[in-house]
Amino acid sequence: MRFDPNDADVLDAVVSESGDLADAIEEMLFERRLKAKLSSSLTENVQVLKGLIHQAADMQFTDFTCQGGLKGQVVYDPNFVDYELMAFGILEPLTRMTFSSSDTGVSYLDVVAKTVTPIGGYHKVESVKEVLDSVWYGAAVVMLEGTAGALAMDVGKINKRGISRPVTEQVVIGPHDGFIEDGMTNLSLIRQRLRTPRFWIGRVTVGRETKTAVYVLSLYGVTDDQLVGEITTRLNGIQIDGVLESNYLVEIMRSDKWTIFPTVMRTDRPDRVAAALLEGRAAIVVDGTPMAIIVPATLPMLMTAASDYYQNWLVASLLRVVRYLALFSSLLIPALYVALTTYHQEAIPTPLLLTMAAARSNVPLPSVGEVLILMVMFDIIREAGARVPTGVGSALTIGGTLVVGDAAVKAGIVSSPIIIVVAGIVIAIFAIPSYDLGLAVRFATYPFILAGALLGMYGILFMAIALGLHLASLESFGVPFLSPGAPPRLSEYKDFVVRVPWFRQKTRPASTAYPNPVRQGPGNQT
Amino acid sequence: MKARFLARVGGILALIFLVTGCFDGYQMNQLAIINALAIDYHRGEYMATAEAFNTTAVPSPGHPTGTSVGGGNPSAGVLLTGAGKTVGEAMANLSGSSSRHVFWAATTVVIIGSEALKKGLTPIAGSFLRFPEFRTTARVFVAKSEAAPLLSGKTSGMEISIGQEIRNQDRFLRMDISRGWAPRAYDVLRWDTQHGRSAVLLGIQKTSSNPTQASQFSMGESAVIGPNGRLQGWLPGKATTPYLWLVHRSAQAFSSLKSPSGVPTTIYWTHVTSRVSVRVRKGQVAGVDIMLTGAGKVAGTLPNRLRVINQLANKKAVAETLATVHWAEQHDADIFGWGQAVYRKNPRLWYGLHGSWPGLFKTLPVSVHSKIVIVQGGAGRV
Repeated sequence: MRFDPNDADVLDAVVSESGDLADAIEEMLFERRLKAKLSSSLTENVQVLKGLIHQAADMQFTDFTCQGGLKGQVVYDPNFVDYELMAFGILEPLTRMTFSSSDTGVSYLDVVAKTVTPIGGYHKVESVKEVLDSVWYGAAVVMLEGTAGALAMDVGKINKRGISRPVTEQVVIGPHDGFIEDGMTNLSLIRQRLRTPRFWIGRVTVGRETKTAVYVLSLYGVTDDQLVGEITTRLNGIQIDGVLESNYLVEIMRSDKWTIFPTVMRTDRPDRVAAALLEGRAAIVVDGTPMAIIVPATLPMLMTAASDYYQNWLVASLLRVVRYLALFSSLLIPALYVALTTYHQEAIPTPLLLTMAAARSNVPLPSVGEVLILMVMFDIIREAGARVPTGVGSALTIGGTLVVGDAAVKAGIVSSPIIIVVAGIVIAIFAIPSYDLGLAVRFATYPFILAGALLGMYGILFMAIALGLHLASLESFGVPFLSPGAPPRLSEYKDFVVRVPWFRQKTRPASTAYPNPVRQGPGNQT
Repeated sequence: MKARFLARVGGILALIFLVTGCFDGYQMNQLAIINALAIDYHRGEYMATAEAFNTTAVPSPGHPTGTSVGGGNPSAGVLLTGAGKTVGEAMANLSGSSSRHVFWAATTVVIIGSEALKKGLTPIAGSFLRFPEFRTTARVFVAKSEAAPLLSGKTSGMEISIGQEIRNQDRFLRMDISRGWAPRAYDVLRWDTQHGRSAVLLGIQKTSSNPTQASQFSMGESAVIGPNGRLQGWLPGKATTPYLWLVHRSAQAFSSLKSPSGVPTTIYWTHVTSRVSVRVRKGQVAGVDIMLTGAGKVAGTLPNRLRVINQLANKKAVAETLATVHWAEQHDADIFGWGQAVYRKNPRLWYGLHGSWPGLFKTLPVSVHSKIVIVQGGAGRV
């Protein structure tokens, strides 16, 4: 259709959409310049680069002249390179070269590549986009006058913190090293524990803008190939602008996207990742975050702590039982308190009933009101405590303790037994080893409280059935979330609520490590 | 199809809300928690008197020392009363007299006045059933006169209510020196189905009539209620111990003993139990054999050889048992449940008796043998 400038409707449409059109055109031009090939004109290349990254003040352009008179530029990001290596390993040899600008038909880049090779290696780049990608991965890109293309020399030095204790899962007995934000360092920590060629690391880049390196870890012959393939497929299918933390991937990748319960395990402990790999699971390490992902993950797995395997099996088993008690307590006790004190007082022993009735004698709120107020208050304090600056932490503690613990009782806003109940479950939640699961339980408590307040024990029972059905419907990369409990897998009961001693754990979990279930014995020799 | 499914789910949820819901709930500070209930019959009406716990008297963070109207030490209990043509009506009127929801589930003591008992136990026991939250583990006592005055007056000053005091005393009697056995409400509720058995309810009375003194109670004679639900008599305190040996298979009690040397001593029956068997011969109930076994101690001095004391103590046990059986036969009160034993042994025989059991019970030959071992209790070892 021909554009008719006299057509008023068309003109209006163009005018109204002109903003969007301009943006689209600008975006198109930007993409075109980004993908443009480097020309043989050094000045032009520099101009194009500077035009593209005019906001990137951290990018440096250092020009040099070879002994023969040939001019060149080194493009780098000072935050990502080792200055010493760059000065003595690249710039100095380049300036001593006898390249001349009058020579034609000579591929200087090949010569540079052969003579000036840093330890990290090099690769040729041909487009503006490749130049920028290389720079932000720690390369110094060398461009020469009269030569199309450039050479990216790896002189990278990433700023990273030292290896420290894991934050989310600390143990008394056992390894004390934790992941950091650097993916390669994290991989090295796992490699220290799995010095076998069967330990495979696949790499996928995710994030249009962040270009985050994501590593898929598996143990060849133990991990199911289909699982690794599925993870890689799902990662490749992610179309997102950036990945700043592993949870970005988790929320997009997992099958049950709307549940509050974590169907993957996230950990900052390299020993847990190694242990998971030995069980036939796969792991995902994301550059830029200390939290690695382990899949598939089941509820019993989330209830295990790393230290379970580092101490006496009987003690570990008892601690697991305690943990399950903590799980059920934190889910049910506030709701049971509300139901018992509102509907089923006859179920409370008389002396306790009297004490509780006396404690409530001046309280104007119903018990559900008390519980909700305190729960919300504790959640606010906990949330504030998680990000309060260290200097004012004591003020928060004093405020929280005085206001919630003492003043609220004395003022008659809440009764003292409820303080014990809520404080008890706040502590109980921290007994759950998985931080993600703890968070989920923390909020799953509220529907139980409301059900208990509306329908008493019936409500709690119905809610428990609903929660049971929901949990039974979840699965993590093909493995039921409640496995080995439901569906029952008797062979995996040796590491369920109770952990049997190591000399009895002759096989790996059948649900994940079926390619090679032998844990103790000949197995695959490498 | 989906709409029908949703309608069903909605219907079930609505039903749940109707069965129980917010409207059913009471906050704990809205409850009048009943501890003890006294039932009397006076001028053609049942009177229900209940002692509710005074929760404001219990120290708590809101009122650390407890509070009372007008100052002074708060009373641990508050009395509520109600009257009606039936026990149920009296209890309902009692509930209506309180500004709080009367909560029966914590009731541990029920005292029935003798006048009310004369009107029959069935209407009283039946009223328990009509209050579903009534805890049938409450102990049932009988007052020799009116029951309500037992719940009034001062307590022993240990910050407990009168109901708790009665309950504690009963527990002490049961655990240590058994003078009787207060049955639970559910025992009373089912006793009339037990084949002609008479119920024995522990009697209770105040030992001090001075209202300024703290209440003290004694539990001695027990009321015996026939299968018709009427009072048959009062089981003497002396007969209580053999009754407990035969029925509850254990009782700790003292008996005085005169030795051949003339020096009195005391036997402490630490645990005596019995084996009762009903003899049936040629399709007829031929008699009852009782074997007492167990142990006792010489609680006082040892005036003779232990073997002699042993023989005397066993004779005493047999004599006391026979006296109790004799009392029961005289009062037509099968307090031992032998009719039930006949039924269990031979139901056809029981039904063949056609209601002649009370007469048969009076003439039933009873033999008692005793093999109680008496040991010497040293000082402080009684």
